[in-house]
Amino acid sequence: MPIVYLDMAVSVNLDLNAADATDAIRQLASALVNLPEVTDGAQLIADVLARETVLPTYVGDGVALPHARTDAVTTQVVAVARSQKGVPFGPKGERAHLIVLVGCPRKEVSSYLAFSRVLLRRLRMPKVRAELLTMKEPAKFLQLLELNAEAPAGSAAS
Amino acid sequence: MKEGNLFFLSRGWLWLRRQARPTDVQWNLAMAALVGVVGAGLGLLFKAATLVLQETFTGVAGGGLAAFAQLPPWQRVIVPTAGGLLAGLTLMLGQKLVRQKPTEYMEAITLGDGRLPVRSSLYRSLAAMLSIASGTAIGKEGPLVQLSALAASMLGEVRKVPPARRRLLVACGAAAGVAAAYNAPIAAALFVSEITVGTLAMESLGPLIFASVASIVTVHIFSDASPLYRLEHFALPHWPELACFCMVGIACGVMAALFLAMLEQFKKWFRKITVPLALKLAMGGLVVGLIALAHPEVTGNGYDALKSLLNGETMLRPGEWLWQAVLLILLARMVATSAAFGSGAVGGVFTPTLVVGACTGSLCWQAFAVAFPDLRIDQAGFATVGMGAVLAAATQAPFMSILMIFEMTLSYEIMIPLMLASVIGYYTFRGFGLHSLYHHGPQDAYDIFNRPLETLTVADIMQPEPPTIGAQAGFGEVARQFLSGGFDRQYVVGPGRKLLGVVRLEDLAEHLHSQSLAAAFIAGDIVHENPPALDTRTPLPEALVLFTHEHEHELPVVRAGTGELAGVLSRNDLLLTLAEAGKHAGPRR
Repeated sequence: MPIVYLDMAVSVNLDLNAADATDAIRQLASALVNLPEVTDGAQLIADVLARETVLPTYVGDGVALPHARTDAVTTQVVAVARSQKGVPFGPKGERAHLIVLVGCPRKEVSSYLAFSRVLLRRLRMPKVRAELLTMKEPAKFLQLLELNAEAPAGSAAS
Repeated sequence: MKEGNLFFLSRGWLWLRRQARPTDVQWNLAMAALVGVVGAGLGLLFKAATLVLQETFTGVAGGGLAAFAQLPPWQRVIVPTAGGLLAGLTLMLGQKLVRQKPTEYMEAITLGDGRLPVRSSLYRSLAAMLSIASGTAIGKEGPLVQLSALAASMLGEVRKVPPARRRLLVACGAAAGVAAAYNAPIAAALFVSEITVGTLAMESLGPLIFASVASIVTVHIFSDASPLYRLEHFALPHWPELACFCMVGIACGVMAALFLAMLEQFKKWFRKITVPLALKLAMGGLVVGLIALAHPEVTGNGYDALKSLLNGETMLRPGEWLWQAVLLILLARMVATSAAFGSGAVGGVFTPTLVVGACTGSLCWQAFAVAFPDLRIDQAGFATVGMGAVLAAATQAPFMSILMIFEMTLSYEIMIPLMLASVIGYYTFRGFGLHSLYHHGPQDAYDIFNRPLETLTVADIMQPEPPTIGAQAGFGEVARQFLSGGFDRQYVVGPGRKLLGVVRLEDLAEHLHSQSLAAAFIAGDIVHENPPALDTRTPLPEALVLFTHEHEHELPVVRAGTGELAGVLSRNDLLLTLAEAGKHAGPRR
């Protein structure tokens, strides 16, 4: 089922080095704060962190999906990161190697769920995960996640 | 692989559950059909039990008028008297044991807020059964309607539906009862619409039709319900004949007024007599019995007499229905039914009203037949039109009356003079300034549906205890609640049940079975914060405005000040209430 996400800003970091979940979220969100779609970077970070404290978003298999609906963005923004070493994300200290941060405008519940679901479905496939962990090119990395949007200029820096 | 299969199966099941989740309208229709079947079943049971009882009383198999006609004279007096006594004792005992506000027969179809008292309805039905079985000149449609409505009311109680919907259910029960009693499903739906709901809005008429249809189909399975009388060779009337029917209409309007005045008068007389209720009913039975000495056809509701009158034959004596005979039957029927009804016997006066109409129409025909020897329309045609006209006048529900006569005779040609005479009868009766047969006094104005619209607020008609969920509940829990309950909104509440937002099924519909989302999402991620909400004190018209703006089929209701979630109001319930309230908008009499 082809899904087209219009106006989605995506950032990718294939070599994340973060001490813990909070650090990882800060780093991922920081890659987005200069985008025109983000109206309030500090608020975005605060909202995602607040959401993470309610219920950690570690979903298993070394994957975490920190996310929040927030007033700080005008359209859905996504930051993807990979950490070979892993970042402790789970409630029992499970390490996440693939981390996708999603910020979504408050109104868009339905597309938010649809997008997250596609993303999670890809991330649950062992073959896709294995490829993601070795992929070197950011563009192909995003393609594997079916995030076919062009990475915004300047944010693709690793 | 096995797990995958299971997952797939559960997905299919969930999908089915979701597809089958009914909307308000679908729920109403389904419940209406159920009520229709149950109502018809109760009606059949009541009729069967009454017949058995009657056979016991008279010792003659078959029941009905034929059974009474066979009785020796002294028994014709004793049976209704003893039956009245028994019915009266039942009522007295019931009143003593069951301390419930009794429901008058006429109130069986005043639906109140949809709560009918169970125990008092039951003992009154038993009393009605005794009265009817012993030949008291009273109709059995009353108990039929009441029992059916009672079943619907109990269903509403069990399902804890809000008042407007419970009331609609009870209306459906009444419609099912009428449909079963008269074999007239169209008229039944309209009867309840016209008289009790007071509107032809589809919100209520649709379920009423479902109930009627379900009821009539059930009745047809268990009994052969044939039309009362099939009019044959009824010619379309010419202008002079139409003029005759106009006069029939006027005569019927006058006769209906006379009959109702008589009912009232007998009620007053009996009220003055200070003897126990059982003796009063026995006296009523005695009057009926004494008349039955000469005219056994006054016993019962008069259905058999009606049949023989329409068929132009007499079951009891051979020969023509001379005008003297018809007049006697008319007077005897009016006195007998008034005595029975006035004495406090539980029962209806619907079929007796039809008899009055048929006699009136028949008398008119005899007069016209003498005056115009080349009159092409026979006695049955006039009697049929007379039934409709008196019914339209007495009930003040002309639509229902026209359709009921049509369904009873299944003759299209009769419709033209019938419509004319019914409308004329309706207006003639109105000129007398009397209350209709189904008028309800101010003592019934206890329920919300009799309050003026301006004083009603959202709190009066909302459904309490809507489905709620905490903001931190997981996605899986939200999905489970949606799949197990029949709702499509969950209200996210904080401490003190403060309304924070709403989770909508349509947002989640595609994802209810997603396990990946269950791990990563909580209710707070998918909630719509600060949803449009009604205040408990919001007047109904204002609520309607909000519904129009929001395109929502239900809105949360919060308490002013605290923001505590008090309930939800569905648009369908609001429309139902407004449609009914509309009938009070006009000038009251």
